[in-house]
Amino acid sequence: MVPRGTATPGHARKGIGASLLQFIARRTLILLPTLLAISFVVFMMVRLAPGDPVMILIRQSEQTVGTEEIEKLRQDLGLNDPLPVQFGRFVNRALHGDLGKSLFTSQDVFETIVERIPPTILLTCSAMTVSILIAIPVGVLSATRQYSKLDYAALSGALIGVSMPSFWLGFMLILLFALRLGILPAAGMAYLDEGFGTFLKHLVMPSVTLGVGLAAVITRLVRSSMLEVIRQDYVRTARSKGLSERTVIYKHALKNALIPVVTVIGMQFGSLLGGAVIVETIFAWPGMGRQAVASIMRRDFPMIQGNVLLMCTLFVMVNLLIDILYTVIDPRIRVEKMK
Amino acid sequence: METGFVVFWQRFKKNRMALLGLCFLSLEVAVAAFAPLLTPHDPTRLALEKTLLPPLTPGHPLGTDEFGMDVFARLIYGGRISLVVGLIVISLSLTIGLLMGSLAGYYGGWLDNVIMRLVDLLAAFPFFVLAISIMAVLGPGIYNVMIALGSVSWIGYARMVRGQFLGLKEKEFVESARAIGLSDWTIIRKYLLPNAMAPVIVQATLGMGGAILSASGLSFLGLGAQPPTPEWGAMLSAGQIYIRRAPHLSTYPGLAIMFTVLAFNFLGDGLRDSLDPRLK
Repeated sequence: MVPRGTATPGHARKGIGASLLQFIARRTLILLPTLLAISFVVFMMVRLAPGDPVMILIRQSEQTVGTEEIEKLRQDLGLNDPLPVQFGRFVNRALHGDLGKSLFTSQDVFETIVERIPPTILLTCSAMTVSILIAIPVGVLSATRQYSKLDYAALSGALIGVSMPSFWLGFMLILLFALRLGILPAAGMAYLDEGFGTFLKHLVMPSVTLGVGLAAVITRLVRSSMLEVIRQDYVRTARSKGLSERTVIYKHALKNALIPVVTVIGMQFGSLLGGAVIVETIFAWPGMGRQAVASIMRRDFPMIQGNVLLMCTLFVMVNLLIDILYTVIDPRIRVEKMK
Repeated sequence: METGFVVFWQRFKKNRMALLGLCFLSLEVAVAAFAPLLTPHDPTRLALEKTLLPPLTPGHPLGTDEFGMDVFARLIYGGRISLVVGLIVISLSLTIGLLMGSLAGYYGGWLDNVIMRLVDLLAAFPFFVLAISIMAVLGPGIYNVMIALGSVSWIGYARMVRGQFLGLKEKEFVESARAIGLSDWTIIRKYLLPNAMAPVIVQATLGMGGAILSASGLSFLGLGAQPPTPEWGAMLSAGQIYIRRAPHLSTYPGLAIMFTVLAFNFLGDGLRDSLDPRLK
């Protein structure tokens, strides 16, 4: 998708496939140290927590276990090895999908979390959809009618949106739609085989609760990006060709105005994952966020580590995807980043 | 300096929303400070004979909670907690952020590299996920919330100050300061920081709102202030069981959080427009 009016010479076009691959390869390579650093932080969690890691890992108080037993456990768990060795083992195991066992249920951490990933992805993606569906039309209208009442209303709405605690909005929605009107379920997630209607009904409130804050952020961004674009020459050219205002705005201006929006959407995915921790707790959504909170409450460290590790990995991957998508949309960025 | 302030105030007072935010926050600070004069009730005293009274009950303008504690008293005492938590989080992250950003931006080289890699590492975590991870290590409690949020949110300030320094340190007034033999520390403190502060102040004001929101979110999850502490997020969380019988228990704390955060956002936007119109 090359912006209209920027002619791409034939020889340059040939190079794009190769340079794109090169860019993706480089960007993926940078990912490795990041993931390693994240793993290190996650690995250190148990070691930094107050108390002996052995005690944390066996969930016992020192009175109930003898010193000899503790020493044996320490040996078995490899806690006597030097830290780099322990870390190497942690990474090696994690790469093989072994994140240990839950201290609480003795279930395999990786298996438990894997089941929780799809609900979280479903929730964050639908929240993202909700926010984009709100933000783009509102942002465009707001920019094309700058300083009108509608513009002020949109801006105030956006400020309220970023200021509203999601846990409060969630409650208000439950109060209205589940308890007073009784048209939406108050909690839980439905699977597709329970019927599309049921599936959707369960999805609506959590997605709106999670998406509203982001909608507010994106609205402001679409508005300012759009304001910048509609003053440019090529938009004036499009207008002077006699195209309808609708075509000018939606076909010519919006396409370019959305370029900066895409990166922000990628970065905001992290805030959605963080927000999901709260929203999943409110709506009893069976995702990673709720599980992370529950395991923090129980001090179930392998489970906490697994959830944090996978959430961060997901976040890093999404950012990689967005970065690649971004360079596909706007080749100038690639050239810039390759330098 | 005085004319600078006059110019700033002339611009600032034209922004009605920012003034509204400032007034609201001043009022809130006053109410929080003089809370004992505004309500006869102790925010944490049990009164099991009058639980879950609805709002507008005589003596209890906003009703009572499941333990008979006065909701109005809890709300205004809760303001103390939220404002203080916000202030401490911002002070902590500003201190770390300004220090790290100044060192990275002024000295450059390996120091810059080390600091910026640390910043990149923290930025690779989703903010709230990192905050709950720190809470997992430290254990629940309102003091730990402040440490967790403070140690996560400094990276924005560090990046900002570093960026400003990179541009400023090449300027002539800094060169002349160096030429007359001033120490690095004096140059940073007296020449660079004051010129880099405008966007930082704006960001810190907006950050107050964000910190209050995150702190109440952590308390809502049960990781922050513990009952019976009158903290807004914790109050909301406790009220969720009674949402059918006593929706006021979760409604009012949420409104209190929202208006406070909104006021900081109004104020921050106003400060941005009047401190440095280029940032608009």
